[in-house]
Amino acid sequence: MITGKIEILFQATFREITKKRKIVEQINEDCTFGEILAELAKKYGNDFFNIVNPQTNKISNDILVMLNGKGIREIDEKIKDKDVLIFSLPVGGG
Amino acid sequence: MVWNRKIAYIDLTSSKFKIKTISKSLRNQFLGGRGINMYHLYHQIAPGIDPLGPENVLLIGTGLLTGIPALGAGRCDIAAKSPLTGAVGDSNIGGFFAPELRFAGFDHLMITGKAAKPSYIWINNGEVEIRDASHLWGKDTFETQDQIRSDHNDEQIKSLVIGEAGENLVRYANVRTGMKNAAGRTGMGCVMGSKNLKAVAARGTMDLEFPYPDQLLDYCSEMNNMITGSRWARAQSKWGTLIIYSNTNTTGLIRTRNFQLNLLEDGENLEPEVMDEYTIGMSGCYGCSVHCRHRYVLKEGPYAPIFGEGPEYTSLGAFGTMVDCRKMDTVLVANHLVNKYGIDTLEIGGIIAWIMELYEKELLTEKMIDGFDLSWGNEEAVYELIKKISKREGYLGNLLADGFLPAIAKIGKESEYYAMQIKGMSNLHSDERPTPSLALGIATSTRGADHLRSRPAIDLYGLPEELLEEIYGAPVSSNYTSYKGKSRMVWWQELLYAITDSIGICKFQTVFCAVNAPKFEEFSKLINLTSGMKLSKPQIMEIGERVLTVERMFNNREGFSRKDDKLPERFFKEPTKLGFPIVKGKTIDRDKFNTLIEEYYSLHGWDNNGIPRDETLRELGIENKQPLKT
Repeated sequence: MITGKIEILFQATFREITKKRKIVEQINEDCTFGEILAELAKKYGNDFFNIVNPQTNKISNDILVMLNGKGIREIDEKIKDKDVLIFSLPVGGG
Repeated sequence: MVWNRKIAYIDLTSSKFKIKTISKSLRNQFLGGRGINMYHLYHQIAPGIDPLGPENVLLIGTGLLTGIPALGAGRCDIAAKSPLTGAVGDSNIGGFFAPELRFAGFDHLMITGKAAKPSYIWINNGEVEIRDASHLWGKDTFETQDQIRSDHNDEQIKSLVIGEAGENLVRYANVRTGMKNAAGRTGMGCVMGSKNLKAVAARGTMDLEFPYPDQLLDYCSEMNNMITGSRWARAQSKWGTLIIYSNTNTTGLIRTRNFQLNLLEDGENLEPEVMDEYTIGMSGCYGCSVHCRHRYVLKEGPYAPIFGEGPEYTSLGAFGTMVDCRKMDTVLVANHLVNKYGIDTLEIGGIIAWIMELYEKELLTEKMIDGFDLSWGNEEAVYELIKKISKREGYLGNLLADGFLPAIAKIGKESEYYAMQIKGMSNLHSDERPTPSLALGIATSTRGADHLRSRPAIDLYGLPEELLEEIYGAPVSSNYTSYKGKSRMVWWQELLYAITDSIGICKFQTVFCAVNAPKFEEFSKLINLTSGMKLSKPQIMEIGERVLTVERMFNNREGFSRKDDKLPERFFKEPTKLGFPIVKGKTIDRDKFNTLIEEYYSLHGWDNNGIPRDETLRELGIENKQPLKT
């Protein structure tokens, strides 16, 4: 059952892969980040699966995924209505 | 070998010089680059001198690793007492000058006095000459480098030069080399101008000697493969530091309209992909496998054609968000102008944003406005101010050329509140209200508001806490809005960057960008293969501590202490207005921040007033050269 919508923002490499800056996705009840990732991999390819470190089953340390502005690492992170996800890369500088 | 490397002492007043071998003990205690420069800064400069007087000492130092083919090992450190802040003056520059200086036979230069007429220093295969630069005076930084190459009929000459801003003693004039590289901060170009020193040019064909050349090359190759195989380096090699903007301008961590907002709405024309329209390729510094800077052409508009390099993320803020200009064209023109005139992009961006806010708040008299329309988004005002300040033309140009503190004194006390400066130096366009670690770094930096002295950028990535504990050696919160463990983060990064600047590699290829980038352990191996010196991680960290403590002692002697390790009041009083909920509504908590400062001092072995303790000085072998208290 569809319970809400989330925004997904793509930056850096992910913007290149998807050729989009932003999409809106519908989500079901009890949605997790892993489910979103599976959906994105279906649409845009395995680059999205590859952000998960197979040894730890967590988001790799060289990837930056933010949920409402906060970096996340867990695949089973809960995603709810009106959340904003950002797929980016951790790059510093000045 | 490392123990034979040379320093040239050059006195511009007498046109005399002498050459000495850098002492073994100095090398062991400070490595090179910034470390050795800071030792000399502390020991060679008398307290209270005029930074623009002949008694100021200009120090140019290559890093211990300069010349190896990895990690951007072409960095050069330039230091003096800062004419902008009166504190430690120190700035780091990439490009190709530092290795050329080493090929020409020197690691360090100590330049004193003042030349009677415009001069430049020519260094060639172990020889030093002071030459007439009358024909170079008045030329921009591009023309000056071209003219020197032409004069010597040698395209391989690399020069550190100043532009008109340095000649005109703008207190934040920079030192430049190549199309884009700049030792931007603390006014080292102004110090060169005060000495009538237009350039330092180097050309050499001498060998660099390494004790284990085969192993060194293998390890450099390993480092380069590791860097180029990483996601962050691949991204930087395509978008440069502009890539940061996408994230900070979404999250709400970017100064807009000086400090009124923390995100530029409708700012999509500053997104990194917009540069694709102008980019003709990427280029890099010596020893770099990343190549993070754009080479661009601007074909249209009143300033076209422009061929330039950059801009960095810093310029995107300086001539974009902070002044509310929303076109990449504006950033590219302004980037070109600051490079041409030789002026710090960050400082001038900060000061223009400030004057625009004062204009909006009607805190300027007609005389101060000087006929300018200082409205937000007026790109022509930005270009004109860059020119007027660099040339010290008009009332406003002259007023702003001296930097924040003298300008505040003339405009009035009320203007101080809006000046986003610390110790007289402008802050980057990042908004640190939601990020205590970043705020602590800019408050305590020895050279004023500064993101390159201790910024723990990885704090923003939400990394696993067990990983952060492994890196920093104690528990650290993975939440960037938390205060827990953040003093330790800043302390650790500060030591890392002190070493990075002393061995002469690029910060971007360290734990500035990514957790798996090189840090103390890799430095230890590289130092050994390059010099034969055997230094453990704790020993290297102790050297970093020594460099920092010497800087702190220099500043203490000039009257700086805890009272100066502060944030602008707006950080405490004005909550952030935009961004994600985790960012919106944030101010810095004064009590928690004070605790952070005390923890940070304690980690360094400094007392609660920010003064290094006697036992710290003893442990680090630093002589206490402070004036006796009476």
